[in-house]
Amino acid sequence: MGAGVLLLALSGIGLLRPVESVSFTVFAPLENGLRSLARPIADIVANYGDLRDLTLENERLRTENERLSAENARLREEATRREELERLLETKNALQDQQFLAARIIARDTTNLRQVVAINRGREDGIRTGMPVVTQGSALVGTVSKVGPDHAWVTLITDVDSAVSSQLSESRAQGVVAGTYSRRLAMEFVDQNATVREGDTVVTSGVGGGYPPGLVIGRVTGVGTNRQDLFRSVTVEPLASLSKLETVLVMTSFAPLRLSAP
Amino acid sequence: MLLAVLLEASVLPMFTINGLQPDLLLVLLVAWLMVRGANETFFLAPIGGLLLGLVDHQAMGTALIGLAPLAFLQELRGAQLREGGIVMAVAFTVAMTVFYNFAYLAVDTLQGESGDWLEAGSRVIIPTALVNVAVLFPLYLAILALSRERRQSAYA
Repeated sequence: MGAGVLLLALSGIGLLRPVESVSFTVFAPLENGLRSLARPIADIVANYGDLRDLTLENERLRTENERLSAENARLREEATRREELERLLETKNALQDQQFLAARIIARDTTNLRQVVAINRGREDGIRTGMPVVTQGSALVGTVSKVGPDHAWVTLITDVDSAVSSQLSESRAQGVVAGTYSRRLAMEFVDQNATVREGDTVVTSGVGGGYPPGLVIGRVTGVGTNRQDLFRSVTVEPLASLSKLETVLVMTSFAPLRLSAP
Repeated sequence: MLLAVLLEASVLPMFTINGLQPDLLLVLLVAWLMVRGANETFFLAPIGGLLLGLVDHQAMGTALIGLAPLAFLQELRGAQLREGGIVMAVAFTVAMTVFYNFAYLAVDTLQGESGDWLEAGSRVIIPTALVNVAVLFPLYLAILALSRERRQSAYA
């Protein structure tokens, strides 16, 4: 116990950082190798368990396909109109002109309390703390929280320490998407009078400078109806499949703002 | 120990039960304690804690603190001449899981990174204890079988 407290104290003042970095450099190839060996088995286990779910989901997707085709036609018309408006307002797409670096997930934090993954890119590759991380489909995954010479830790948006300034793309209602211990996302501080519906898309708002605006976080899956509460309680399902991540993109061209006190 | 630590960090996240992965090192140490006794676990526990600290996201020393109660459990197990029972192993696993995860929570809180402890207990720690117990059985039996085989070959 005493050794543990001593190590904790030394780690807190940064004395053990070189040890941690070197050990990760040594162990990362081993972890990578083990994951490569285990991946086929994990795929089989996952597929077997998913068979019944897949059948049900297939039916659900057929129905939704029909609905989406109709909505697609309507959205094409709206997109044309929006492009005209964006040109007028000079609004940029969040991912336009951004640079990305692909990285592979090599490890996860060993406790179930935290949602943090390690990637195989680090300081030598230009990774810095605070850089947003997205999937290849541009869904928000998390942010770089700790950087080593050749690896980095990414705190996922479902981690309890994560808080992302966000808004609903439909109603523009603002809030903060925070991770919970149940691996779901809770959109907090949403005004009671805001229009929130199941299925609404939640995106980053850019407020606070931690993320560029417009990155898709997820969809609303539940809306609390208790008018006694100060704010509405909104549950959000992340768009990125965070438990099955293998490859991510680090937005290396985005530097989070460090705002000073007013 | 090294293989268990690397598996826990890299492979086990791919095989979760309801989104939860077992604390493989912790379960392995409890099973080892019950089957092989305190003498071997006395050395294995700190080594395992140090190795885990090198590969996980937490500050080094957190795993060591989390595994510290194994020393107390070694005393509880006592100097039994036969291997410890599975019931005691299950009880130890649950107790260790609770302490281990609350130790991590405490360190997170000290670093300003923690959430609601009650929610953590109900949504993560107790379900993790159940997952750990599920993993305990095959590990316990495997170590028991290996231990008996070793004894038989030593007597032969």
